[in-house]
Amino acid sequence: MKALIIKEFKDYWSNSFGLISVAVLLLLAFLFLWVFPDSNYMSYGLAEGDLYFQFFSYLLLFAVPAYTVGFLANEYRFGTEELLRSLQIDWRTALLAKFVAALLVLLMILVLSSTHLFVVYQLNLTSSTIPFAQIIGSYIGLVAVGACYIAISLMVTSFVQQTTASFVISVFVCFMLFSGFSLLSDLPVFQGGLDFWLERLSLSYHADQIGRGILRLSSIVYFIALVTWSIWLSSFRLNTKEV
Amino acid sequence: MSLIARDISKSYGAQQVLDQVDLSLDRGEIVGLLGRNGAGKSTLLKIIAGINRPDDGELKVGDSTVGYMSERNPLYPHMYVTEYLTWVADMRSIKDVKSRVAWAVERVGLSDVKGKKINQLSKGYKQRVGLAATLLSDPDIIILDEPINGLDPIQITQYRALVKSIASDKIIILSSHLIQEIEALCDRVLLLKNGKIEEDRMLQRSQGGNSYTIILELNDGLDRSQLENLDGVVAVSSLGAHRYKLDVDAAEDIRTTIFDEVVRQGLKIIEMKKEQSSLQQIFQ
Repeated sequence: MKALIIKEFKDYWSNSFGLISVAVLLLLAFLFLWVFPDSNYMSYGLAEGDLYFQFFSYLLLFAVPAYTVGFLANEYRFGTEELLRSLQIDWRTALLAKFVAALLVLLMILVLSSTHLFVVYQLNLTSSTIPFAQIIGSYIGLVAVGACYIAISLMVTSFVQQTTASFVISVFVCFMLFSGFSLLSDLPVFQGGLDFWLERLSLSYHADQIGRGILRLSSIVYFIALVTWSIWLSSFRLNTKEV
Repeated sequence: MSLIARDISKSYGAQQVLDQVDLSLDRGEIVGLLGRNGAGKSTLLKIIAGINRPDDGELKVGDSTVGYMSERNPLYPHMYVTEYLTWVADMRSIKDVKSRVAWAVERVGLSDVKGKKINQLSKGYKQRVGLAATLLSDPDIIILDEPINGLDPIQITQYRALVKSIASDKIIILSSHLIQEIEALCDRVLLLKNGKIEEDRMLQRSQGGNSYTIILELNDGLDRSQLENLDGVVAVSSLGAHRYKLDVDAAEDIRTTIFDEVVRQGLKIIEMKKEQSSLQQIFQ
């Protein structure tokens, strides 16, 4: 398992795509948070982390599927599914390794982007203390959301081999889970009935709760169940597929 | 150590690829699997390697380990040769990875390119990387699906020598479209046709890599021992009425030599014709 994770993580950085995509991501974050009018901190007016976390929730919606589909799509491209099977590596193990490697990439992105937060709190003139508890809570929520995006992207790619199609579908499914259900719950037809449950089906609801320091068992179960179910479904699909 | 398959069947949708295939292989055998495209060779090899499951039937390999090199020879192109082999060794839980990788690199002749990335290698070297990865765990059963694809003549000769050198205590199964390849390497050939094993026969291993038969009809009886002493003639058998069959294994056509010998014996040739080897006849 360890050798598989290391291989997957190294694979990501072994070609220019890995470095370029992270660099572009960080550049986009810089442009949106500091340069582009309306979306930057100067327009926001508050030197707090909220804008950063909101922005990254949506940025990861595209970024995570963009790099995660490659983890599985490359196996199809190189025909190495056959190699994994001949090495008696079951898909559950392989998918877990890919999940962990993709999660490590996400953590690297978040660590590198944390400089924005550091700068923001340096600009804060009203308070000299940094709300570490709130920041850590928000980061946990963001990582949990990212982990769900990774698991969903792997699941979609296990069903759809074409890279572009699996990216588009992954983004759609991630969006629906992040805020699609929440938006649907606002429809008058669901008011006073299903709106409560639809709201709780959305990733953003649980991420917001954690960001506000409310760590409920239901949120933990929600994130773990979503990741586990996605990995299980992918592994079921790939194990039953002929190579 | 043996490999036994009983009633192996496999279908892809409505297409029956393997239909109740039976086979039994023993240690020390090099077995060639021959068949046209779509005959089910790769499917059978993948089932033996444990990559795909049969719809029906059973496969017994006991405690034997299986090494498989696929026709496509899938590799991770961005990895370095040694890095890739080390990873495969880790995945196979091989002890003393470093020395085992060094052994495999040396054994298949990868020393010159071991520091290169796989995508920088020629097809022949990539085949060697695939073969090295297959040999790493010293498997009891080695399956090679179209292993000489892309190899040049020198590499083919080296590869044959390598396969022969490791064959004594293993079962080696190789598939090929090339009859000469099967004849040159294998003790036994299995002809797969329409999902069934149509022929299962022992082979006399070719030395020159070019086996054929000459049918000779003469006006009188022949001293067969003189013909058998000619270079390239493996066996002479009588077909009755002054007709003879000569099994030949020679790189070149030796009909002129036979003609000279027949004339030397004071005989006249009524007919002399060269035929493909019996394996080619079966294949067609």
